[in-house]
Amino acid sequence: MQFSRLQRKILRGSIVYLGLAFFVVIMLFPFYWMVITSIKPDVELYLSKQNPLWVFNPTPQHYIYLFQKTPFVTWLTNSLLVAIVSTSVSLFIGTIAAYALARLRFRGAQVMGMSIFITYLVPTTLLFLPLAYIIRNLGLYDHPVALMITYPTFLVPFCTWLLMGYFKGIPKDLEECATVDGATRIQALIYIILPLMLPGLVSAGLFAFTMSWNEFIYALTFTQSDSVKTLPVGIVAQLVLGDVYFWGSLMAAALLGSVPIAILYSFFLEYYVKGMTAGAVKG
Amino acid sequence: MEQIDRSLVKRLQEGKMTRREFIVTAAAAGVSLSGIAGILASCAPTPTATAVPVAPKPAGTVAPPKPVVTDKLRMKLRSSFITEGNEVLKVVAQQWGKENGVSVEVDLAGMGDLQTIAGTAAETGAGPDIVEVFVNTPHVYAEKLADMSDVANELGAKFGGWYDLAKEACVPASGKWIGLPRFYAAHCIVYRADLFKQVGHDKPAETWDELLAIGKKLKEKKLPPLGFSLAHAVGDGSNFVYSMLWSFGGREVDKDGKTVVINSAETAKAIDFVRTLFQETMTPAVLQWTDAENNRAFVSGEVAVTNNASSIWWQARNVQSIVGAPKNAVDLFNGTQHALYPAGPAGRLLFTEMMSSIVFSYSKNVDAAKAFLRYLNDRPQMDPWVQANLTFCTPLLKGYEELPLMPWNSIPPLRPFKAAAQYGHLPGYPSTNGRAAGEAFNKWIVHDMFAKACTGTSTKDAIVWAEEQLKKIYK
Repeated sequence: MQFSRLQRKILRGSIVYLGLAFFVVIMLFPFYWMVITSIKPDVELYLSKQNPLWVFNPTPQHYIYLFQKTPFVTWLTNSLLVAIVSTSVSLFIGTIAAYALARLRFRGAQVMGMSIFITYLVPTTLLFLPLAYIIRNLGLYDHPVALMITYPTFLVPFCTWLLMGYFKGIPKDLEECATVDGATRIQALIYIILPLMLPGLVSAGLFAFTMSWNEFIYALTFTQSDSVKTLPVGIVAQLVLGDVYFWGSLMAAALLGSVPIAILYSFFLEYYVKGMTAGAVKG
Repeated sequence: MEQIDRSLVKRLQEGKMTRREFIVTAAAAGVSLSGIAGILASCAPTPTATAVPVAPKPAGTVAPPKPVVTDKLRMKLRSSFITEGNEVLKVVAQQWGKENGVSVEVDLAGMGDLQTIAGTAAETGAGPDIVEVFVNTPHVYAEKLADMSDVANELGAKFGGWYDLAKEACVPASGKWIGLPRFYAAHCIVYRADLFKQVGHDKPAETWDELLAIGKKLKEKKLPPLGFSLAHAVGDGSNFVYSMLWSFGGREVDKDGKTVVINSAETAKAIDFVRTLFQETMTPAVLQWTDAENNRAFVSGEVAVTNNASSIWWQARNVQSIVGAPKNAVDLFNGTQHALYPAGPAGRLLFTEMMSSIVFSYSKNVDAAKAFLRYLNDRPQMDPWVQANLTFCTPLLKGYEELPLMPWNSIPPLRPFKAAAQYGHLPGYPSTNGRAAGEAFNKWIVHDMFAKACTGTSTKDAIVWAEEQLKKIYK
């Protein structure tokens, strides 16, 4: 059977858009579920014989509960503060560490690079006890700084490992040209290499921020007060009480908690995609 | 003060203020906790609630010296699903801090989080001064805990003595109290009396065999089935599997705390019964049920019977009380009843969800922590908290059983919860080897033994597997 050019175009477009639509539904369904659960009254959450995918009597009661009865804004602020500081610190350390490991030829560089990668693979559940000793000795228990200094323990290896690949992808000649023109190594790094690395830095930063944002076990064990807790710990502490889950408010908190991440991704999407595909197109 | 009292009470009675807001505002206005308890009782939503007799302050007692606190007294306590009860705890702590001129920080957390916090604190020697922990956990950290014997003996003498269950949790072979029993969540069978009537039963089941028969009839009539968690549900799941094992005469370990005796004819009978109950009366979803799932399933009308504390009744009451609630929500609440756990061939024995307050010896505030716990567990502070929590938080002291303020004495649907602690035991029963029992519990050995048997493993193989696992612990 012969297809005309137009038919082929329509067929190809249909397949592409059907595939895309399928993935969009899969990706957005959790958010849709969060939205409808957060505005459903309790009667609909538990006893509705109507379509569970729709809200028939929307209510703001779960949002009101969240803002009036829990320190949600404080948790959100704490999460932002901790994530911004730990991501910035980790990106800075990760960048210079990755540069050193990728560019400087010194004995043990390869082993060290591999070790950093292995460190990243150690689960936080194994590290939190030794880290708790350190936090105790520093007298930082129940202080946000405890999280700002412990999160880089898994973020720095991650950023270093990710950025090493980007450094290796940038031709050394560019840096050497700058050096010939009189730039120091630091100047070459700042003015020549880092601008080319922007997609990589954005990718590493976004991942690091998301990992800080979601972290639970350190935040649970190193903080106690409501004024210091981060979002994931605060939500669980006050919206899961015994065997009763406050589903509406939980979903409202989860939805609002995902907003900063969504904003960040939407702003840096272009860089992020470039960063993600950078390795794929290099010959 | 009286004027503030009256205006607050009026607003509470008129529904212009929630009970939680009332507690916070009244405490800030200087109303005593016993006063708050009395007012709450008189404004209780259930028509049958009676006024709380205010506990008289003992006459002629000499005020103890004020406690000294380094930095601040930090505590991690278990949260209740009833937020008014949580507010009472916070108010009590702040009031004690104010009276003694010290800084107090109280934070509430769920059971699982408290276990993680206690573990970290024990390993690192840093963390809160007081932590509330689950069932046998005090035994796990025994040598790292402050001696609480003086406080425990004092409270026991004052309030009618401790249940044996309390001693199982906090008294190792040394005879010393290593924790202070704080409360238990009284458990019952929750069932739909309206559905029971449809299959010809006016009363709840007295024995497990009777419940099996009722479950079969419900299934035959295509009515909602039974549901008891067979997954890693730390509260309701543990309640079910341990209670089944013990009620049929099975035990993990002998009284000596060393000999593993799970491989017995009694354990086999318990497993066979649970398998039949699962296959012939339950929803298969129980294999994945968390502690919250049986609440959701019951309140949604998906199951007719489960086991729980008073939270299901409380949730059903809340759902039907919403303006414009559908008839099925009201019918479900009206049909919801509680009953004692059925008895097995070996009697009625219950795993009991309980919490104890422990004070780590690393704390610089051991004496202050004890002073606070003495205060916290005294009637004026205990009464409003117990009353607000609707049997979810009940002292392990026998003297509370008959008090009119106890929810099981003042609210008829909660009557079956009365003194459930008398049937209660903890993992490792009847031994006092709480440390090993705690480890076995944390590894879900009994839970998994039953779950394996219900999902294809033979009774014999499931028992042999559990025996091997237990022998690694009880060496």
